[in-house]
Amino acid sequence: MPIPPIQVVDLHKYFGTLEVLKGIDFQVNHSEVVCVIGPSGSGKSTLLRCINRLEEPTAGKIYIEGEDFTDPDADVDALRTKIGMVFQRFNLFPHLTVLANLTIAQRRVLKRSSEEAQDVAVKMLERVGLTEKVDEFPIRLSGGQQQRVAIARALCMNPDLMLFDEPTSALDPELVGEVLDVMRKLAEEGMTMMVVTHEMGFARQVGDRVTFIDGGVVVEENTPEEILMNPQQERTRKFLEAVQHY
Amino acid sequence: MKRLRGVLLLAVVITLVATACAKGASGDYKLVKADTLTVCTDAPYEPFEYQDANGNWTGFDMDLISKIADGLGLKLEVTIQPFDGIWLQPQAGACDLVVSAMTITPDRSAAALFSDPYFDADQSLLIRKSDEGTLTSLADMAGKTIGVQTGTTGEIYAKDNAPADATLKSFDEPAAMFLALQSGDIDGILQDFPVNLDRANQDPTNFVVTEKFATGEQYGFATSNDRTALIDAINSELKKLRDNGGYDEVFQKYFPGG
Amino acid sequence: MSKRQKSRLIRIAIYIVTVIFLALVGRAIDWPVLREALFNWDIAKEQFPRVITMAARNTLIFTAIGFTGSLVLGLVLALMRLSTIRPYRWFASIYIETFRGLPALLTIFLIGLGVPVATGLRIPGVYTAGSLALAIVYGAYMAETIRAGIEAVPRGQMEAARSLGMTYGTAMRTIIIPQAFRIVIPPMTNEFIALLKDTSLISVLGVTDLTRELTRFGRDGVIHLFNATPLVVAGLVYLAMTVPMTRGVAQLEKRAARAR
Repeated sequence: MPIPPIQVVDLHKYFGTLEVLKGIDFQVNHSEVVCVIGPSGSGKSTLLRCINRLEEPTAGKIYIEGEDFTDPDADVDALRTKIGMVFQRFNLFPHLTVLANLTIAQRRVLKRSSEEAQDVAVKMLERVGLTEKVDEFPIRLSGGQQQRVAIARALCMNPDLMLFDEPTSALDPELVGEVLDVMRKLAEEGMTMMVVTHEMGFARQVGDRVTFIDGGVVVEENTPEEILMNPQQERTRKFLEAVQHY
Repeated sequence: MKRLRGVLLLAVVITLVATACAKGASGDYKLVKADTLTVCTDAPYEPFEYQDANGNWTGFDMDLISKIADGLGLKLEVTIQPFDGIWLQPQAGACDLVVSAMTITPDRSAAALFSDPYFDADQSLLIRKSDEGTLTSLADMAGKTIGVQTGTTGEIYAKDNAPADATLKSFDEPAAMFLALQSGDIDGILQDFPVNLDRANQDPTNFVVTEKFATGEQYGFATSNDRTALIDAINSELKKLRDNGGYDEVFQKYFPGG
Repeated sequence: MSKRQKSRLIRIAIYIVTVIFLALVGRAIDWPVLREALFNWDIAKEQFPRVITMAARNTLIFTAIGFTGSLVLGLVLALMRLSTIRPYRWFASIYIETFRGLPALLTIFLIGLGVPVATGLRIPGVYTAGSLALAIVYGAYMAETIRAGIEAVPRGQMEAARSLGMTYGTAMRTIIIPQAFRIVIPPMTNEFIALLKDTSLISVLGVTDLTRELTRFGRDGVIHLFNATPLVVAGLVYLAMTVPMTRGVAQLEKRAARAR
């Protein structure tokens, strides 16, 4: 049995006295696309951020490709290079050009030469369809373009898996499609992906599994068709009704 | 009603007369504050003007001017100013008289009115005790730094007589100079002999006066050019004190056997 | 009377009062005397070129060294203030509160004269003591400005940098601090101008012919020429340095606001 890229065991997370994650068991297998859905405040973003240790788990274990990420002695920076992260608000570096955004971590963390880094950067920009923007500053790009650059930036590090924290929630509706197209392509190429999202259409078409989280626990987990057409739990049904209201 | 008006009128007249009289008393001397001799000084400047532990003004200058003020029937009030340009303060209205171990010079006399001289002073060079063997005269200050106070005759003397490659460093106040000498920032202080001597006597382990320069300079009190009545009065008091031994009394207190 | 008419009348009345007031003041001033005392042309000419080649030059030298020192010190203190290590945070807080709470003149006297006497340490160099004291004082102000700048950089920037595998140090150096500096350029220019003006306090440590700065130069002129014109000239030179800077900053801020 191959080692799962992401394995979360009995994860608890407290913010002060508030328990946001109440014992989550979660797993993403190789080349799987898992979409995590749930109401706001459910803890789904916290779960994703814990996996990258942007939030510190209070208790429980997180294994990235078998390595204990929650171990205090773990080399966090090194493990993070295996994880590509895409944020809701893109978080591109505004004082650097698109090219510099893509190459800076390659050079400083992976110690690649400028030429090598640039080659990789251009290739990734091709993958997201934005080669002509290579010398632009992020402020000149639309939201959708910025997010695609952000995906390319993460890909430049050759990650083994990618985390997406509501990647389209901050985009105008007409720009959502171009980003989802890129993500679909990535999935088709076999990338292991965990996506926190509200886009049910994407979940159904691209997702291998949908996990519904509410109140800090995993309520239900199944294939997209099953979850969306045949939700077993009352809470799941209520949530889907509210989301797909229009 | 008529009586009230009469009382009011009387009150007004009395007030006017009183003011006129008061003005008359200080009007001659043109005092800044009635019945008070207000003096400007750059203090502390031992042994000429400084305050004791209780804050009372003392020192050669202060004791002397105190006696003079008594003789004129005036109270004494002291304000502190930086030395540089202090002789312009009476004209600016900050005080009546400058009492600040101030040398009478032609330049200053052009802008201010001096009293008769009341003290013969010399310049001198103060050094660290540790340099006593090597710095025996002003000529030895070649390549060294000499501290002087801005606007003083010591500064002028240093400019005229110090070796060409000595650096002159000008300070606003003596306190900073003494500290700078002690810290090694400067190598000597050129200023009035009594002041340097006083410091050396207070701190013989650290300081010593190495040379004295007879310049023939004399101290005087200074005021604005228009306060001639005041200066005349002060000069006459000064003469009285010299004649009746009051001057010697003060002199012996601060310069015993001098 | 309508409201508009009333406010118009009030405005006219204010104008009239102002004109009368200015006329009275103008009458009361003895213009020839004022001109002679403050704007004596011959004396003004005499100030040049030394007011620029020596006095202004020294002011700028003290400012440059002092400002650079305060920038470095301020950055270090800001990072200490933000550190997770408590002793660093404490030290930085105490330092900042102390030197922001003391008058600059007191600190200058302390560093230039007090400390050398107490410890026997000599500060080498002609510009060092004064510049060092200024750097120590303004380092405290800079620290707060820089810290505000760093905190103003959105959290997501650090998160993105760390997610790419960068260490805290690399992220700070390449991503956060460059952005922080861009944010703090306007307030920092104000600090620069304040520091430039405070170079006027350094003369308390003693000046040589080499290190005479602008205010000392002006004051000396007033005393020895019995005329205030040298001080007016010095003042104009200060303004020639500070006003373009203030204007320049206003332009920068306007441009930054547009770009956003």
